[in-house]
Amino acid sequence: MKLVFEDLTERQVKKRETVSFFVEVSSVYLIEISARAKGEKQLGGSDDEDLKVEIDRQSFPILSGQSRYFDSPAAFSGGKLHGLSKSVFFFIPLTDGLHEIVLTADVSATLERIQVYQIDVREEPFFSSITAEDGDRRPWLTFVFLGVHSKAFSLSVNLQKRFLDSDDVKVVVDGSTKRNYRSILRKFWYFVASAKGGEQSANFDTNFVSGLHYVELWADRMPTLNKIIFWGLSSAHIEPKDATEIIKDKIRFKARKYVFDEEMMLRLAKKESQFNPKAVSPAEAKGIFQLTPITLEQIRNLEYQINDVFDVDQNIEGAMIYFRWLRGLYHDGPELLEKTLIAWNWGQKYISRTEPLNWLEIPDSVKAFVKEVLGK
Amino acid sequence: MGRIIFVAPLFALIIVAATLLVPGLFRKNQGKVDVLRPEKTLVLKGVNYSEKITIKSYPLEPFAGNTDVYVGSHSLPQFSISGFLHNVYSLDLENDGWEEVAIEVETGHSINSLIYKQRNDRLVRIPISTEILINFEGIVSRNTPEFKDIDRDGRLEMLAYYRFFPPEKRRKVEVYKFTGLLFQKVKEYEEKMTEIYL
Repeated sequence: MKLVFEDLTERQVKKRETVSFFVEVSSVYLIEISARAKGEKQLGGSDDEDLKVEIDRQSFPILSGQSRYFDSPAAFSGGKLHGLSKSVFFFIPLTDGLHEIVLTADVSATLERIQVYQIDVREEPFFSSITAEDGDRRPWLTFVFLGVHSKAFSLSVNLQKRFLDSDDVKVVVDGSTKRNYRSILRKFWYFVASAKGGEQSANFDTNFVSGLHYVELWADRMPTLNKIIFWGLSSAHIEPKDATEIIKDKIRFKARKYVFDEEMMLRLAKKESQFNPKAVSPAEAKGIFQLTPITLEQIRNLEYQINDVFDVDQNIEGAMIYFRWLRGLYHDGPELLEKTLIAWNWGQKYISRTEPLNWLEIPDSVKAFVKEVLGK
Repeated sequence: MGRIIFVAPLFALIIVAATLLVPGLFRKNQGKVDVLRPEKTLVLKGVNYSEKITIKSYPLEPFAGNTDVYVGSHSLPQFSISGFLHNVYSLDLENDGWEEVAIEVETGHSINSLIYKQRNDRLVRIPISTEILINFEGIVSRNTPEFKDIDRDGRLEMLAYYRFFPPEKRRKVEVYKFTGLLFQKVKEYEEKMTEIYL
């Protein structure tokens, strides 16, 4: 598995938060989201914390009720977790380009981490050495399959036997709890330590062919996942995006990073080069944002070194840094973007940093440029 | 020990020979062009007369460019222009043996082109009928102008180009006639191009 993105900043999610990430290759990806949510008693109120996840506008409802999201196996429900941590692993095919995870909280929730891995389904990815926090029966780990086929999985857990309350693990596949025929009292808990502590393992058929599927592991007390291996993973062919779409995604991604209007930056790149990374003008302006040798030097002085102006990522990053610097020259106000674009096109010395713009003093070609980039 | 003594002078000899044969081989950073400090010199010809023009650009804080123009042996610039030097060349607009000079400076992504005439030992800018003097002088475009005698009167006309942006292979052309005092716009049209950025 190759880590392609991670966000390890633990934080409270209130209302809604979007996390964007970029992938270079169309492939199956594993997205791990870990969070915790408190119950109403812990909050001293009348509502639990809940957190639901959407990936590229794909929602993850419970399978028996298509409009229920906050109590889905892919969500984090404070009424079940009571403040404990849960991890959800999404197996999902992604095209090369920009992707979005939208986290929507009911009350709030604590996001612990997001990690995105590119996986090779032929390598049969596995997870190991995950120990649950100590707590009573609650959802612990969920594996979500969306458009990814799986034939079976092998599960090995380590359970500790205690005098009063031992470790147990429940296995739920697509809402159906795997029955434990070895125990009458704990028939819904597949692995129980009261009978035999230590390592226990079993194989389960899944035969997920298409659509949305869940494998849930519930924990009672603090079991350890020794290993879970998913067998026979595959997905339908993922059509790669064309080069221009990838460039557009990269511009959107960087525009979000620098808090610019994505559409405006797309219009700027389109105007400069029509997204052609090899574009060269007679004035030696090069690449997607038509950076000139002088602009490149200015960007270098802004502590970003462009080694290859035709490299899509370097050109976009450099252009964003240059644009941010230009924007910072002018006082915040209703004409900030107009002034920034005039400086981009015409040079920053011609316009006042504080006074309102006098459009009569600006060349027609510059006016037309600004108007088009602003989409007016 | 004997081998070390023999190898050391041989190695020194190779270094000396390589330095002589390939100048600059062992010199670091010499001759590196500083794009923010371009400098050019040219000689403007007149009738039984010539004048050296030196143009130097440098960054002002934070990075706005400034270009100083020196005439003759004066130690102080005669004037300054905003922007970094892009190109400078001489031309004889009226075919009278007295050359004019075109100075092109880069400002933002655009090029500001300015034309100067010799007068005594000074350069005097030739105004352009479309400029707005309060704020900008000369031609501001992503392209540089050309000078051609299109009406065959012996004087050069200035053709200012304003290219469209990709994917359109078109440009607007403004034709300016030199009246002796200023460039007067006389015509404007659009033309198709084979290349996007021309």
